Amino acid sequence: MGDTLSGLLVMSDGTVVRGRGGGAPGLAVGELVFQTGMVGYQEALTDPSYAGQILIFTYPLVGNYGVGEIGNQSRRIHPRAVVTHELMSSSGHRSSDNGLDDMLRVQGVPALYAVDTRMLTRKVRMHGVIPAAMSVAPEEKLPSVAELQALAASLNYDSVDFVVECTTPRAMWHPPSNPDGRRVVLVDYGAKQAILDYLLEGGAGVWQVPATTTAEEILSLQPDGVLLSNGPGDPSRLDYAVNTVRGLLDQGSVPVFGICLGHQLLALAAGGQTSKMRFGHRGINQPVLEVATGRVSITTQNHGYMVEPGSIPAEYVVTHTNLNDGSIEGIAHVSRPVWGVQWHPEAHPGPADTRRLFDRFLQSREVANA
Amino acid sequence: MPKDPSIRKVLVIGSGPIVIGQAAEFDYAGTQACIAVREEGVEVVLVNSNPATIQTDPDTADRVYIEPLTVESLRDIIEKERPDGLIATMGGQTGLNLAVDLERAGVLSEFGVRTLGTSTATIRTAEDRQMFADLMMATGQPVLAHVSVSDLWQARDFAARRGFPLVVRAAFCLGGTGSGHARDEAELEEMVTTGLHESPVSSVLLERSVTGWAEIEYEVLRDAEDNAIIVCNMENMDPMGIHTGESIVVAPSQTLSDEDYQRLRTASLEIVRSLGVVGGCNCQFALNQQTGEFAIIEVNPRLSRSSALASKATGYPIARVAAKIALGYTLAELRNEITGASACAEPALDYVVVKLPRWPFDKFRNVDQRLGMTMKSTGEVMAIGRTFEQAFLKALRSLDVGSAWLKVSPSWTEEKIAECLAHATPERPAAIYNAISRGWSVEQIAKLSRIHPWFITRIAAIYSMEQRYRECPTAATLKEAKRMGFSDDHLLELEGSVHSSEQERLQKSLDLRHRVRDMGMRPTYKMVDTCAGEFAAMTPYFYSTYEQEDEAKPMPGPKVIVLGSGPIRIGQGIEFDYSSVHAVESLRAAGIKAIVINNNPETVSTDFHLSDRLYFEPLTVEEVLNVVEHEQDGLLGVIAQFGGQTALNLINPLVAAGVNILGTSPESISIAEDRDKMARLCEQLGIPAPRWAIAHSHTELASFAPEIGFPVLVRPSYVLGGRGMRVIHSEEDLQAYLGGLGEQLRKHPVLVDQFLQDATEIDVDAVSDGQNVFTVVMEQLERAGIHSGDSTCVYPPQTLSAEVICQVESYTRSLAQHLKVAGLMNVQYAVKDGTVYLLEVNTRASRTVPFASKATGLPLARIATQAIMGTPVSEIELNQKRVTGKVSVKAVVLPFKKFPTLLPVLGPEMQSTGETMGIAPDFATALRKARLGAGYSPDAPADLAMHPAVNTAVRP
Repeated sequence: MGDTLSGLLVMSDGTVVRGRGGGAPGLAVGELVFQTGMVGYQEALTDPSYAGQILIFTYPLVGNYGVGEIGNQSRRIHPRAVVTHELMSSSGHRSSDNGLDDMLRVQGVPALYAVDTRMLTRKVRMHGVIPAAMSVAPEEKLPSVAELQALAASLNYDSVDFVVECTTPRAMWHPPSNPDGRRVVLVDYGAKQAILDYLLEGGAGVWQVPATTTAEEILSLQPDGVLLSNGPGDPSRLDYAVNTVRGLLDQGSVPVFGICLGHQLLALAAGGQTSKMRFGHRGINQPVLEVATGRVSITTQNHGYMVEPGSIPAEYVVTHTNLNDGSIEGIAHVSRPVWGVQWHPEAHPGPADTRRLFDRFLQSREVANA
Repeated sequence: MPKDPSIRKVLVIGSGPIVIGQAAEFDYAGTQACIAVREEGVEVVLVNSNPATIQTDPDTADRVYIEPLTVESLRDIIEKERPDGLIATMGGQTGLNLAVDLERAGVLSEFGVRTLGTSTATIRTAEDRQMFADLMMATGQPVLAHVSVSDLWQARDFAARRGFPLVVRAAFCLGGTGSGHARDEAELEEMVTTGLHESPVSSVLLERSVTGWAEIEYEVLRDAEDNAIIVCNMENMDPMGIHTGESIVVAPSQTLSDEDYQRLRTASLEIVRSLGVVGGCNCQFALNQQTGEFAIIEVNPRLSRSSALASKATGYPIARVAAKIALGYTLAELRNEITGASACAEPALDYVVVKLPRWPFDKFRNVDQRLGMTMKSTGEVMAIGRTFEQAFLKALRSLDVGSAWLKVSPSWTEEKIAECLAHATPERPAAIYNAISRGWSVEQIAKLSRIHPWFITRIAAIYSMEQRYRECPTAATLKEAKRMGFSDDHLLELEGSVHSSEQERLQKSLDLRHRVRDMGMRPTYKMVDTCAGEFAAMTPYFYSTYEQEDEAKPMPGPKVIVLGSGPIRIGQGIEFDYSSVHAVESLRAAGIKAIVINNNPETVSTDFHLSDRLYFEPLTVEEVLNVVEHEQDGLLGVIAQFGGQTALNLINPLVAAGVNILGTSPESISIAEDRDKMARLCEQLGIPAPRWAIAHSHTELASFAPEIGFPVLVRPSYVLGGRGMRVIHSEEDLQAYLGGLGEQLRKHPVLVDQFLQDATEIDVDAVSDGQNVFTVVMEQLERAGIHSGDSTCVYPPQTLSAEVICQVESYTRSLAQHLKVAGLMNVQYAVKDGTVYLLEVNTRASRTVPFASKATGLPLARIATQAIMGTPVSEIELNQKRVTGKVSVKAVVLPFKKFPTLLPVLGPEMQSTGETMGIAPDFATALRKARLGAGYSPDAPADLAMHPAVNTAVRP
């Protein structure tokens, strides 16, 4: 398993980590982030929200149960590179037909392993997410540290629109299993497969549309509800997306449900603000408090930006907060069926504790514009 | 909802004596719960019959009752104390059953005592297999086809319809007692009959056998407002069919995909919700990895062995949070004290935890060693590593048995390996290893053992590393091997190193250590922080690995390392953990930072709240030296005298490596361990001792024995702990014994001791500063010759004359002064015809320290620690503080029920697993209470006569 390959990672601040190389030989530049799930590596890797990043798995053994079709949350791996403590060969699982190393290699994603991932994680925690460059190559062909550091320093993650590379290229109709099912528009900023699956399992027919679709185009599809998906990057630079959401809010009375990036776009469209977090929330163990009931749900999260507290306009309320750091996890319009959640109720990976939110979305009805 | 203000006084029930299936984990849980409740300003009344527990210390609870755990005695306590509530989930199955009995007997309603946390109704539903199965079916959870029977006829009927094999489980039994696999009618009859007898409700469940499926556990916490989280999931390496207490367990699960993990997680939450658990609960599932089918096997709506393991594996204090929940708090209101983040988050691990059981088969050689649904192990070890290999290798070292790593056994036939793979015994890991070494395929091994190929591949990786190092012991492979978790000694063996003495071996091992250091490799310590590094945690809880960054910045001094005692085994139980904990408390009270090294997940000593720093590591010379080196600045030294023989065995090599051992000097310790030197010391001090000799030949033995005078006690010199002992009464006996010895004598000389027939044995625990000596004299009820650990003992002595006691105290004093004992010392004497003979001296904490401390009201281990650190022992003051006017009796619990083939007879080899204490104004009542606590019938004082060894003089 890549015994002859070495790996070298250099951060923009000059921190150097050497280890073994796995996956595909190559060079990658990205924002270094960590995620703490102990299962679900394939679901995480294929989550488009990781586009543009180099992903550290804090759990040391990655690859134990292989990879298979069922674990894909999109058609490919999105992080630019992967850092693990061990890159394990699979010992078989009924849902797996391949090993993780092979999947990385086939998709051209370099992996660095046999390194102190906890040290890297602590670094990211203390200094915040940080640009890094990584190379996997035979030892003698590795680029110099200076070269990689220069590459890392040149990255401006926040200025890149990663949504364009993740969204569906054209609108797609997924017919409902039930002919009377509701018609939903899923605005795809890099949607995870499970969002679509949950909608379809809920009996809905789904128009999956590109991120650049306008409000008029969406409303012309006469949806019973619009779901704004998760996706990568800084929401505040996605003017086209914010305009679309604003259009939906201004022109219609259609129910709108935002997930993760979709939630941030909703907040921006409503007049709120977003900001970058130091190192974000990435894992499958985040406790979210429902303010109205005091009930806690354990959630999957993957975000580096958040809705600024205090920026929420008057006609919106904060419905959920994070029990760890108090950050905003959910907002809702006071009278209209418009709401967003910062976490991933579609799970995959992670707990399905809040799957009921999809039922709520599919049962919500338009109300007259207040 | 915040704390319920109407709760002002709470009764906590402990788990009683240590038995197989119920060990120190409940002292850990109970102690943590008591502290958590008292923090809230709520008074705690604690009841437990086991004196060797931290929870029965006067500091742990407001009121401590060392009383039998029976409805009668609990009723008296409840009537007197009038608690508002009862927490029943901290005392294992014993506590749970007692709470149910108290409710049934109407005691709780009579005195208006509420059950806090999980209700007795929930407990009953969870424990009654039929009610539980009905609830599961009603809520759509998969259960195995089953039937609950109350007679053999019903059992036969079910078997006729379902066919064999079937699983038989007795209701309301701990540690799988009365459970097993029935493969045919005969086995069914035997097991159902036993099960009905064992079950307190005469109920047995028969169910479809899923032997070979994976066994997965989830530890759940739920509050009264229905918030629920998973603290940890665990995967048993051994498949279904082997009790989880007998299984190798890893945390978190290794072979489950996200889909598998989440399905079982969701089911766990739904099950716990449908039961209405308020607090902790363990859910056990069987999972067919081929098809994905799963079934709920059972739940434990209480703190358990698994929850203790989950707590230590994650750093999440389950008992503490469960206690707060019982008082009315919700999970959302509680903070994780380590990270400051919410207590309602699920821990994320960035390491692998491996648990291995410790079996008593070194003591009980002639019992059935096959592992199954009944627990036979007495204790366990846990190890933490960044890989399975690292954690597994560390766990093997922590076991403190014969070999510290797996070895090739050329004598094993292929048939034996196959047999051992198919029918698990403690040797199964060795069988896997040997099968790999002979080129068996992973698939073949997995098929025979039903162990997931992933684990076999990991053991194969260890084997292949060994081969690589053996063939090519270069710097590169050395680095790789150290990183994988190999010990220096293991590598030394792979290098083919030979040595002629223990000293040479140690030197070579230290040389290898220097080679590793010269390569720039040293262990780095990582923190157990519940969150995989996501939050800045301050947990003083570390494990070693070989990586880039070290997180355990050495603490400023002054500081002392206290060595723990490792896994619980017969002869070295919770008593030693008790003393270690006291040492730590005493050091901290004196402003000295206390560092604990230990590897037992069940104990209080490995609760990181207790010490300034906990290194969860194997107790080997290498690993202790690593910590010593790491914490060198300001380190005053290492205290080894509280960690039983495990810690004592480390003293000489540690001294050789330059470590300062605090307390009694290593030279004195070696005198006490050397018969010759001790004999000379006795002579010098004028202390009589039984005459003895070492016979190297038949002729010597034939002449020594009559010289010493019959009866004599003979035993081969190479065995420890009383194995192979015989009492020879006459010349004829001797001839018969000689005839049976054969060639053996040439290789292993025989020890011949004067046997003091019908003597009274005396146990003395003493604390000394080298000059002043404080003694506690205890009298044993059984005659000399019964292992002191198995004998009933009483304080103060009941039949000894003032002269004898004075003599014993005086001998003890002069021994302590001559050996310059600093700390604890245990001395055993025998009295015959008014003469006091010295039998044995141990310059360390003994098994009786907790009993002696509680009987006298003086914390001996704490006083000893002060003495070790230089505070003089004030005899006068201590004697004034001594409890008077009460009699205390210690009784023991024996595991004969678990090992039906053992002859239930006491002898020179220790067999008991735990102890109870009875305190009363008079001896007869104290004895009755102690025996009641140990489970003997209260109406049968005559059954004392069943102990052939009991001294007639002290029979009440």
